[in-house]
Amino acid sequence: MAETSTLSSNRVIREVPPDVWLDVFSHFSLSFESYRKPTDILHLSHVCSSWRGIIHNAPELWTRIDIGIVFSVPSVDLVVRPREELLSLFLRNSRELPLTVSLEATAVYIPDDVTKVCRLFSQVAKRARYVALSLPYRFPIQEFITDVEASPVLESLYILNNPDPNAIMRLALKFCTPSLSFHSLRLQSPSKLSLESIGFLETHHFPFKQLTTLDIFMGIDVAGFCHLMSLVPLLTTVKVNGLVGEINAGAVEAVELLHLRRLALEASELLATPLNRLLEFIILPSLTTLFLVGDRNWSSKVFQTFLHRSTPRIEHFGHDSEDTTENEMIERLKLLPFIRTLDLPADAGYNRQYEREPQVGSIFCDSLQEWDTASQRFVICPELETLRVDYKILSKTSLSMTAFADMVEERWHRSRAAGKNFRLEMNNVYDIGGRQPKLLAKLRRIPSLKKVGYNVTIG
Amino acid sequence: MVILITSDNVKYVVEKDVAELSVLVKNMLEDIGPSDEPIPLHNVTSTVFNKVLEYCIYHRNDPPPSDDDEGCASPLHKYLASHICSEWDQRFFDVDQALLFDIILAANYLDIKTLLDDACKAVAHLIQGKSTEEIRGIFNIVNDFTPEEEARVKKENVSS
Repeated sequence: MAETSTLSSNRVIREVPPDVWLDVFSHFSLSFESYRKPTDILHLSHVCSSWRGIIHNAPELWTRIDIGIVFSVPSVDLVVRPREELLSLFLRNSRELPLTVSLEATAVYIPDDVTKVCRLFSQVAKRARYVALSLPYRFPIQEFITDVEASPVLESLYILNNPDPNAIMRLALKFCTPSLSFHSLRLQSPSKLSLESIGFLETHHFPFKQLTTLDIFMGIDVAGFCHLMSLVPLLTTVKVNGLVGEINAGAVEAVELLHLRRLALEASELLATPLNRLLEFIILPSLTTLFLVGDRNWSSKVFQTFLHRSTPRIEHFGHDSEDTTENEMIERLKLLPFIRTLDLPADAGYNRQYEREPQVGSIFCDSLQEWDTASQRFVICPELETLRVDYKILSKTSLSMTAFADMVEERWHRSRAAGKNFRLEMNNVYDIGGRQPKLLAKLRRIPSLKKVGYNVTIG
Repeated sequence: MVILITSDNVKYVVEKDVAELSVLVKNMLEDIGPSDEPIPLHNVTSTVFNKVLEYCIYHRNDPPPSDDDEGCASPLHKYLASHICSEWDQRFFDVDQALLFDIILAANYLDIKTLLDDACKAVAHLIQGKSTEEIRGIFNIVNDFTPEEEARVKKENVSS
């Protein structure tokens, strides 16, 4: 933003209506990320009496409360934030609105701090709609669970950074069980979620049947994943990053999830079973979004059986498969005529030790611009609106770079003539482009289309 | 085509789909029916309207927001998608504060929700990480607290 302000004194206070300021403050309060930032809304209320009035009369601006044990630099003492007076102000100003609460302990050495944190957290946890818990290994989970009162209106729980699966299970049970509105669980941990862990939750009546959103960013047994899917009939979105182990096909029964619309699976390097084989055990008639990242050994038969049994209308498809050829990818896309978003990433979530085969070359690009004059539609992905491609999977030959630019331009012109959108997002170009300036020159006409209104993002 | 006239009497001939991004204009067009009558925009000067028009032309084909458009994005990705403007938008809002607030007032008057929303995000970004004094300086806001209010503010500052 330029610094050449010519605003006259108090013009913004006189002329900008309070509801517009409230909009500004709402965006501002949504954009904080760490424990220090909630106090910023307090500082905004200290600018002038007009802002103070608007902010104090907007309880929604006071509903995010972060509590933490943090290092206080430079003395390197441990400090519990926020102070009790400030917490009281937030609780008072948020009135009776449900709260978004996070608890983050970066280290725990002093029992007094833990007691203080539990006391502070108890005041807010019982009104919480969203809870995020980041507790280190040595945090006294049992004491915490005993002292804290869980919220009857909790909707969403996020547990991160704790490497002890038993602690994660106990926290999940404590916070989720009393709430009938609970529906979203997110777990992130360096540890592994096993079939036994899921069984533990099941035995203790964890409300699996209420779940609509599940996001697991930790190791999870394939067997555990398959069993988990049989416990969550209302699930609409599932994202699992870190599948490990091997599927025992004889021991798994197919499960139908009638409401599931978004499925994103990412393999870990310890997954012995190709991701696509998991589709053999789930029937998803409502599926609109399918992401399979880190896949390999694609089975056309399994995929076709899945499509035949589920008859989904897949509109968003993301696929990162290290051993897929261009022709194989085209065959896959032919089975998915409703795709609006095609995402071809190159990061499987773990570090490959080798260069992958390019999947977007002349064959792929020529196929994607094939036009059927009878139906006046593209033959492959006729509904495509957004193409996201990682530069790493582009074939680095002059011919294929030209074919890629041709394809993008052709699809854009045709879509535009039909009154539709076609958008390109290409990632990781600048990371490696410096080493291949001649090849990049072939793509240069894509960004130049921006000048005539083409929606393209290259980064 | 729609004819719009700004407060400084500059006439614009604008394509209907672009003009109708403004709910105010859309409602006026519905009220008057088919007509070549110019529509007056009393509260917007041509300098500001040039910017508004630039935004509307660029965003004329934007699809309405939809969950599915984000595919399987994580909550963080959804947050980023909804809070970080595009490169084009960042350049568009890289103007001096007076013009930025003129755009806000015009978007509010013309009832162009996306423009108002994006402009509010730009202002929110501008005050991010700034002290109270710095914010007063940026926007030329006068500290008008009474001594009693000032005392309360100081007390709150101590406890934070």
